[in-house]
Amino acid sequence: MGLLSIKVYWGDEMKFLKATWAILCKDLLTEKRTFVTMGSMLVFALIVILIFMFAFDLAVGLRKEAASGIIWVTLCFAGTLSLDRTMALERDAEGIDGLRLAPFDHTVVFVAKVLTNWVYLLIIAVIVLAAYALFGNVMLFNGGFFAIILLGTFGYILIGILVATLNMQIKSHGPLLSVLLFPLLIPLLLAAVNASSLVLNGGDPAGLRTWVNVLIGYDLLFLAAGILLYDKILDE
Amino acid sequence: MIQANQISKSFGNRRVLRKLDLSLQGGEVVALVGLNGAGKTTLIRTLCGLNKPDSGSVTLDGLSLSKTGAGLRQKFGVVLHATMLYHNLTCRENLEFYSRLYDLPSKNERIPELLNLMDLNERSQDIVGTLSRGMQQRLSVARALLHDPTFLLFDEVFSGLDQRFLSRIIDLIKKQATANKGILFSTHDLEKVFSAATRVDILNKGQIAFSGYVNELTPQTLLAKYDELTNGASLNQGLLG
Repeated sequence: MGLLSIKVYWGDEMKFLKATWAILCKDLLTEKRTFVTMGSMLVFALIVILIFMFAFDLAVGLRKEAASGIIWVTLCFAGTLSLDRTMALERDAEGIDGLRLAPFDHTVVFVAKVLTNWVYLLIIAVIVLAAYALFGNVMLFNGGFFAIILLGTFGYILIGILVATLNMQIKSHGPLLSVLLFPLLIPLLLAAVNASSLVLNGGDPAGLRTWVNVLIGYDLLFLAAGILLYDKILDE
Repeated sequence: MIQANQISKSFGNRRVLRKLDLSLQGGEVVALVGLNGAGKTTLIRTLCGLNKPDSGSVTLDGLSLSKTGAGLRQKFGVVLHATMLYHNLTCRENLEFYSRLYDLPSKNERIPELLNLMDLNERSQDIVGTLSRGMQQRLSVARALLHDPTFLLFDEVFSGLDQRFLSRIIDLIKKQATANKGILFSTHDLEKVFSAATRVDILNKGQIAFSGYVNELTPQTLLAKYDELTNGASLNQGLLG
């Protein structure tokens, strides 16, 4: 009879969504109050854009050609600040134990953290594009490019949250996040940079389709990995 | 009933728990005493599922903690050294967050009730990071009680509390026990053992080396047993000393 009295939350979609929403709101409220994550990402991203703009002093045409690389380098490194901070938030006072004790599958934490960090990175992406337009006189706002950014940043965050959680669990607060993360990101970043370049500068549509398929495949692969493995990763 | 069956746990080469058996029933208050590093925290973390035993099993009402769904965790209220509170949120926001995680329908009544119980009503809108350690500890107790759990596991819950709240936590433990809740708390203080517990377990070298009902013991016999097991280390005798 004891078994009957236990609610299995994983099967209850509303409770899953409510718990996800609770974690998301908690993280966003903390960020609104402290502005630590977004602040550091923003400063870092703007400095990188400025350095690229003024150090290389490229002609407008070259700036457009180089844009995909510069934008993705900026997003990639700014994203690590967000990933590190999102887990530091849980590490402080062991809030992660509170989440692990809560009566739901830990995949809730994965979904909430992915959504939070994706929101941060997309906001930074919009600001970076605006900064590039402002300082480089190159307009990068177009639907295709933004679709690539959506796909690329989603994959980046999926992988990043898995690695950042692993990093937290092995009690490593040093450079291990970057050491583990960047090799896993290489295929995703190659696809994102190539697809972005083809969208911005024009090129073979078949090539673009291939890179977009790689992005979608990578996103699906790590989404599945997260859903299947996160519970185990967050467990001891 | 929580039942730990032959659980062992190691960290690297250090064996912390060695084929340990322990049970905790509803209405029972168990005081867990032992030297620093004896494994009290590891045992509490293992009982609630935060640590996985290397061997052996923990069951709750006959259901394996590691094999059954996440819903079993709802039955535990846990206070550890770290408060599990978010330092950039207010007291009320922390409790609201946890009540949403546990999907509590009565949070609007439950949160003020617990804030009142822990005498934190006036500080409910204060950021947790600005509270003293004792206040954070009280809020952590409120967090653990929020979802009205069946079993309470308290690790050094009395640390940082002043005399008024020591008494209040002891009263709370007794009240929870009369409501048929099972409570296990770790302490170094003999006074807490005799004022709150119905049973005392001495953890030594990774095992429950002694277990006895408090009403069958005197402070002197417990101290003698503790000294014998720990080679002369002594419990803090508090007001009983």
